[in-house]
Amino acid sequence: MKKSASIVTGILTGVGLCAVVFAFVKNSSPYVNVAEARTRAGDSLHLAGDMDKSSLSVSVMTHTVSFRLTDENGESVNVVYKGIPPANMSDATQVVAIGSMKGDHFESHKLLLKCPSKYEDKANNPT
Amino acid sequence: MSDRAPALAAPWSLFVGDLGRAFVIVALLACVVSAVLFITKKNERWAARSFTIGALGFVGAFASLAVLFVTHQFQYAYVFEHSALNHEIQYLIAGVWSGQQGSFLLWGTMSAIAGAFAVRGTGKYRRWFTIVYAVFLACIAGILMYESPFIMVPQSGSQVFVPLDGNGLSPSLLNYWVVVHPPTIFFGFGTLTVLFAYSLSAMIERDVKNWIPLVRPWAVLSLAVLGVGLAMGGFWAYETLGWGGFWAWDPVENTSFVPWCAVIAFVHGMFVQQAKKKWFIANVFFAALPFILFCYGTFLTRSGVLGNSSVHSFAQMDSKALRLLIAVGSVAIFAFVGTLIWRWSDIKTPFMEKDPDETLLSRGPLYAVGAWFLLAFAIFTAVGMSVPFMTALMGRQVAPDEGLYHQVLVWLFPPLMLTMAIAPYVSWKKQGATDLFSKMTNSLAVSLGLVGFLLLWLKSPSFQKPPATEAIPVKLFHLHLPVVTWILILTWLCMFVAVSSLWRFLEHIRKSKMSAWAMMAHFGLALALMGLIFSRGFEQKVTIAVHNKETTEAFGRTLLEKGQTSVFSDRNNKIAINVSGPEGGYTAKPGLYYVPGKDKPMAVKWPYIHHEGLIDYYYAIGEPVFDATGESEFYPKEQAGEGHPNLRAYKGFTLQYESFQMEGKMGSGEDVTMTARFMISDGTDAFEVEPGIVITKDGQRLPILARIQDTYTLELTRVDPSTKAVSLIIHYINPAYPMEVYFKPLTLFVWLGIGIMGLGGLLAAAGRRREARAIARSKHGAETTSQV
Repeated sequence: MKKSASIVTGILTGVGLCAVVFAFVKNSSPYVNVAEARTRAGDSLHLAGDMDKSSLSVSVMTHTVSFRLTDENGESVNVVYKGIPPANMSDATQVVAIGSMKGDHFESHKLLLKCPSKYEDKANNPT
Repeated sequence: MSDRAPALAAPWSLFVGDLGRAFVIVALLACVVSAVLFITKKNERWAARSFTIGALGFVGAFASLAVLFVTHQFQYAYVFEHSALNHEIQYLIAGVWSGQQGSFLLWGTMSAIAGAFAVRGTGKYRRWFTIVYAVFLACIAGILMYESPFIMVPQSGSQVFVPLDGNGLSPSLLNYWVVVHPPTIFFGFGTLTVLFAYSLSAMIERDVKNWIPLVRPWAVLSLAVLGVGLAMGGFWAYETLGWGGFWAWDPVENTSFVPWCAVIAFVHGMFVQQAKKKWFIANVFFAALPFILFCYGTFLTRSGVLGNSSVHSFAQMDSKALRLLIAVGSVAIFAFVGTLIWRWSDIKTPFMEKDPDETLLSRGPLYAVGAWFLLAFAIFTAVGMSVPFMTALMGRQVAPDEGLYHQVLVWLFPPLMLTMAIAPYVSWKKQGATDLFSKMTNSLAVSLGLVGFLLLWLKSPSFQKPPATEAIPVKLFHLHLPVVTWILILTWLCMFVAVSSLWRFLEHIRKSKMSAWAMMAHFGLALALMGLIFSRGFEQKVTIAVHNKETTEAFGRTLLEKGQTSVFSDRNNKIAINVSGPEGGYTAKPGLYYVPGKDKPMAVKWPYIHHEGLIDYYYAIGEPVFDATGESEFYPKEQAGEGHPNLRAYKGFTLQYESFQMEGKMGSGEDVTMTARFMISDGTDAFEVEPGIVITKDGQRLPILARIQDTYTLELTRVDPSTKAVSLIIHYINPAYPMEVYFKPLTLFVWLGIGIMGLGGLLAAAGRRREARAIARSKHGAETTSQV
C-alpha cells in the first residue's frame, strides 16, 4: 500500500513536471534571423540584429519608430515599432525586436536594447 | 574642477581599506575556528564566541566600505566605479551594494546579522546550526577575498593618488528604491540561510520533531521581509523605470519570487507538523529548498546563460566568482541530500494511517494541498526561467513570454485561491460539507456582491471601455473566455479570499492574535493580487504626442505641454503638462533629463503617476521630436491619382500642391531656386506657402523653410524638376513629446495590500518569537516541556 502509493505519486509528479517543461519549451518564443522571421508563424518572434542608426526615424503622427535591422547573416529588414521610442534608442547598436513579419516589414511590439553606455563599458574590474 | 590636481590619498583612508580587508580575513578565520571547535566539541563557549566575532567581521567590513564611499575614496576601484562627488549621502551608501563585490558583501553581512540573532534561540540545535552557518559564512568571506571591494585602482608609482571623481551610479538607479530595496531583499535572502542551517541541523541532530517552534519566527519573518522586498522591486519598476507594470516574470524578479513561494509552502507545512505530528521530512525539505532555489536563480541570472531574455541589463559575473557561486550552490545541494541519506534511518517516520477524524475538508489536508500547490507554483516558475538555459544546451535560443507564464500558472491559481478562502473556516476535525458551506455563505455572498459593484463600475462612463483589439480570448479547458469575463472571475477569487480572511480576522482578533495576524497577511495578499490582476487586465494605453501649441486627447482629458521646469541637464527637470478633464485639472510632470553619454547625451526618463481615486493615470514620456511627419510625396494636379496624391490632410488642415517654379539653370554657374507652392486650408482660412530649395553655384543645398502659423515649418526635401513631384517634411517649431498614457484601475489595492500583508507578517513573526522564547525558557527550567 505504502510503496505503491509513493511510486504512483512519484510517477505522477514526474509526468506533471515533464508536461510543464514541455509546455514552456514548446510555447516559448524563438530567436530568429530575418530569413526565419519571414517563414515562421507566431507574433512574438525575437529578431536580433544590429540597428542601422542612419535609418532610424520617429513619427509622432503615426506613433511609430522605424529602422533597418541587419541580422548575423547580413540580411536586413525594416522594423516598425508602435509606441514611443525607448530611452536611448539612438545609442543602441544591438536590438532585439519582438513581433512578427507584416508584409514586407517586421512589426514589433517590444524592443530590447543593448546600449554601450559609459556605465556598462567600465563595469569590468580595472585590475 | 579641472584646476584640481589628483591629491595624495590620506593615510587613514588607506588604513580603512586595510581594515576592511582585515575584517574579511577575521570573518573567515573566526568562522572556520567556530566550526572546527564545535565539530571537535573542544570549547563550546569559544566556538560560540568566534561565530559572533565572524559575524561582526562582516559588519566591520561593510562599515569600512561604507566609510570609503561616504568620504569619496576613489583610489579604491570599487568606490570609483559606483560613486561620484555629486551623489547625495543616500546614494553614496547605496553605492556600497550596487556592484557585484558589494552585493556579495551585503549578502554576507545580512546573513551574518540574521545568523547572529537566530543562533541565540536555537536551543539543542545550536551546535550544528552554528557549524553549517559558519561554513557558509566562511565561503562568502572566501569569495570576498577573491572578489574584494577593497582593491586599489592601478597606480603608477609607490604613492597612492585619488582620482578626481568617480564614475557614478547609472542615472536610472538614482532614486530612493535603490536605497531601500536591496537591503530589504538581501535581509530576506539572509534569513533563507537561517532556514537552511536549521534544516540541516535538525537532520544531523536526529530530531526533526522539536525544531518547528524555534525556526517558525524566522520562517514567518523571512516570508514577510521577502514579500515586502519583492513588492518594493515591483514598485520600483512601476514608479521609475516606466515599464508600465509591476511585474513581468523577468528572471531577476523570479529569482526572489521562487524562494518566496517555497518559504510560504514551508510556513504552511509547519502547521501540519504541529497539529498532526507528521510531515517531518517534508518540512526539512521545505526549509532547505528556498536557499537552494535562491542560489540557482542567482546562478541563472548572473551566468549570462539567459542572454537577451531579460530586460535587466545586469553585468555578467566574472567566471571566477561564478564558479565560487556554483560551488556554494552545489555544496548546499550535496550537503542537504547527503545529510538526508545519512540520517534517513533515524528521521524517517512510520507511514501514518489515515486519521479517521479527518476528511478532505479538514484543515490538515487543506494545508497540505495549499503547501503542495505553492511548491508547484515555485517549481513551475523555476522551470519557466530555466527554459532559455535548457534550450541553450540544445543549441536553440528561445525566451518564454510573460503571457506564457500566465497560461501555465493559471492552472494553479484558482485551486490555490479557493483553498485560501475555505481553509480559515475549516476545523482540524471532521466536518460535513453542508456545515462548512453554511459557515461560508456570508463571505461568498459578500464577495459576489462586491464583484457586482466592480461590474457596475466597469460599465459606468468614468471607466474607459476596453478597446476591442485588447479583448483577446483566454484559452482554458478549450473554452474561449473574453478578457472581461476572465478578469472578473480572477478578481472574484481574490475578493473571496479577501472577504473570508477579513471576516476571520475580525472573529479571531480577540481570541487568538496569532491566527488574526495570519488572516491579516492573507487579506493583504488577496488585496494586492486583486490590484495586480484588475489593473493589468483592464489596463488601457494610448500613444500620443504632447505639444505646447496643439492640444491632444487621452482618456477624455485634454493635454497641453507647458514647457520644462528646469534645464535638460538638471536631474530634477520635468516636463509640465496641463491635463484638464471632467474631474478638473492637474499638471502631470514626467521627468526627462540628459546626462553625458559616450558619444552624445543620454536621456533619462521618469514616468509620472496621477492617482485619481482607485485609478492610476500613468504618463511615460519620450525624447523631444521635431519632425511632425515623415517625408511625404506630392504630385502635380495633372498627375494626381491612386498612389500619386496631390492633397494630404494633417491634423486640422489640408495641404494641396499647387505649382512648381524654378529660377536659374542647372550647371549655368548661378544659383538655382526651386519652390513649390502649397495651398493650406484649416477649414475656415486658406493661405499659400512656398517652401523651396536653393542650389548655390558651388553646389550647396539650402532649404527655404515655410512657416505655418506659429507651430510648424515645411521643409522641401526632394524635388524632381522633370516630373515636378516634390517631397516634404512638416517640422514642429517647438518640439513635441511622444507619450504613452496608461489607465490603470485599482492600482491602489496593490500598495494597500502589500502594506497590510507586510504588517500582518511582521506581527505574526513577533508573536511566534515570543512563543519560541517561552519554549526556550521553559526548556532551560525543565528541559521536558516539548517532549511530553
